[in-house]
Amino acid sequence: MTGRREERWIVFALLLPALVLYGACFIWPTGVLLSRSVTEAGELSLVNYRELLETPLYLGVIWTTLRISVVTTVVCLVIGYPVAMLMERAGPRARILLLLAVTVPYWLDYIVRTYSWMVLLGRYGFVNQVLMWLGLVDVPYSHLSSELAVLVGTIQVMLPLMILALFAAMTRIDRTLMDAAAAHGASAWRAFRTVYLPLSMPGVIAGALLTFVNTVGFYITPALLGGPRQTMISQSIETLAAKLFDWPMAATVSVVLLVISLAILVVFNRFFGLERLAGGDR
Amino acid sequence: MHDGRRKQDATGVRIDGVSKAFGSRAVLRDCSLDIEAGTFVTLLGASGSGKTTLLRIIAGFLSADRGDILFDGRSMRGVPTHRRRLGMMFQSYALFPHMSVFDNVAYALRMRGDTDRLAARVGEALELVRLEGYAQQRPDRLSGGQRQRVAMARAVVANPPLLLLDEPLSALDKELREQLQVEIKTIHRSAGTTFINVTHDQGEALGMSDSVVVMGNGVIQQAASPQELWNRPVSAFVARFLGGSNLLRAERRGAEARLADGTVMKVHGPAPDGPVELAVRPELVTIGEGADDGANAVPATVRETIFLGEAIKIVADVAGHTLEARVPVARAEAARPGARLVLRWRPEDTLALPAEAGGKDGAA
Ligand SMILES: Nc1ncnc2c1ncn2[C@@H]1O[C@H](COP(=O)(O)OP(=O)(O)O)[C@@H](O)[C@H]1O
Ligand SMILES: [Mg+2]
Repeated sequence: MTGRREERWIVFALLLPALVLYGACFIWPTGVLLSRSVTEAGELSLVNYRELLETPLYLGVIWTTLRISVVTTVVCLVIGYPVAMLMERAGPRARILLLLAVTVPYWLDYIVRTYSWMVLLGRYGFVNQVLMWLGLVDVPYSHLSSELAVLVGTIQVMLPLMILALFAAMTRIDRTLMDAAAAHGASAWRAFRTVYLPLSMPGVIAGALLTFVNTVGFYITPALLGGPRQTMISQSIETLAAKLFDWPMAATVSVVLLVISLAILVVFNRFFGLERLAGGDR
Repeated sequence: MHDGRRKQDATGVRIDGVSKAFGSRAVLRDCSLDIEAGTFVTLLGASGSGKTTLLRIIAGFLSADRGDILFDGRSMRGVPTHRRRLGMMFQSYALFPHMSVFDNVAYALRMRGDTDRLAARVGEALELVRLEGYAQQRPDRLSGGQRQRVAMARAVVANPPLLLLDEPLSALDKELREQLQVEIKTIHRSAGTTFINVTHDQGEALGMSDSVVVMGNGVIQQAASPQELWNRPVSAFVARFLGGSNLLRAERRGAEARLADGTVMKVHGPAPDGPVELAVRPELVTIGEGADDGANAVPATVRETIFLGEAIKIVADVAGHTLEARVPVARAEAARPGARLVLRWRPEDTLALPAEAGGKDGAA
């Protein structure tokens, strides 16, 4: 009983640096951002938001961003799930090799990786050379400046994260559960569907969340691999702030980006409970 | 659930020359065994003796390198686990954590498409294990004993003709273990199906089973009824693993054997002439000079006495060996530490067993 208050003070003291940092680097700028977006000539006003909703260009950017993020998340999940599962099932040596194969690209800076896609997808790039050699195309044309190119880039950047999130959840699945399922009449497919898949859901949710929220904020990848029609939210913020010096509008678009990310978190929390991601599930 | 069960609802299992190695390590070597339909058989062996491996081969989780498993005379080669009509219990319970108790038990019925009167049958199974009120609970809200009861309900709800139990009781404390031993035996009796149990606990094996299979060094050492195993172990390995027996090194020649110090005694038992170990059960040893009735009699010095309630355990030095005797309290007055007396036992209780090659590995 006696140590209780004291303990609380110690915890608070230990947290102080984190709180200061958090306040200075996150709360404060976010507050400034918010206030910029809702003021016009020093007065409270929603005129910026009205402009955003009435400008097809902005709406188009938001729609493109959401579309690319959803497709990236889904494709990463579909490709990543079997890979993560293979990794979890593999013997210790094969597991380490696969883990390296997945994580080494992740350690490489993603700008480097994006530039290498430019090389591969360009007019005289590797992809075209292979296609021409196969006789599938006669005239080389650039695959860049297309949504496909952007997706290839975002998927390649996010895939390792997705795989690691899935793998982490899968290693927590007790293997004897699959034996128990088989012993009590479940075929391999039904055992997967009724036991493995539901128990891997924390990984699916964590991976999807990480992928989606990260992709929504992508900047370099669409800038290098995409064209004007693949402009994503972060790019338009940069244009507004650095080229057009339209700070209020830049703030407004930033708030929209923040709201989208928060909305995703809230929805996931509502349906799945984020605490499950920490492994406190069951 | 009791009567009216037909005999063909139990699977007869034949293990035919099964060998299995992991890498260069031979875990099972040419194991053969017939398990009659409807019996309760226990595979008994030290940790690492290959019991689980054999059970997993029977279940179809692993395939044998050589040999075959037959159910009712039919080879199980190529038959996947889910078609072998099993129930199974695991040491770690292996309950599905994302399902309620009800859904865990119903699983065995749903996966087989056997959903007539589903709720009623799940209810009956939960009643059988005395967990009626727990259907909607999650397994992680239950105690270890309750979880294993749920696992038991799941294992028996579909009336599988063969139940496999991989040390289901070894994670539980002693009292619960003994309680569940009785419950499992009762369920076996009422189901009339074949149970194959795995344990490293001699008491559990001898107490629960119709037949005990002692495994050691990748080989089936002896398969026999508990009484037979207790009274007539075929090797020093088995006697040592079951525990309790005195084992004296000796040299056999015909009906006699000579201990290291020259003492000669009359022996029975299967070992051929040569080095043997003589197994003598402590409860068959008596004290006293007695008449010349042909018994083996050896002088002994009492080292220690231990009161056991109904009997006294006497630890004595005999011919360079330590020997234990268990004597009724009234007959043990002469036994005090340091006392010299004569210990006797009958020649037919002196089992000459083949000595273990390489010493004592595999003892519990
Ligand atoms: N999948 C496996 N890979 C390699 N070795 C194994 C595997 N399964 C079991 N073993 C080894 O086989 C031996 C027997 O194991 P097991 O059948 O589990 O013994 P028990 O159940 O009698 O304790 C042990 O030495 C164990 O390490
Ligand atoms: Mg085992």
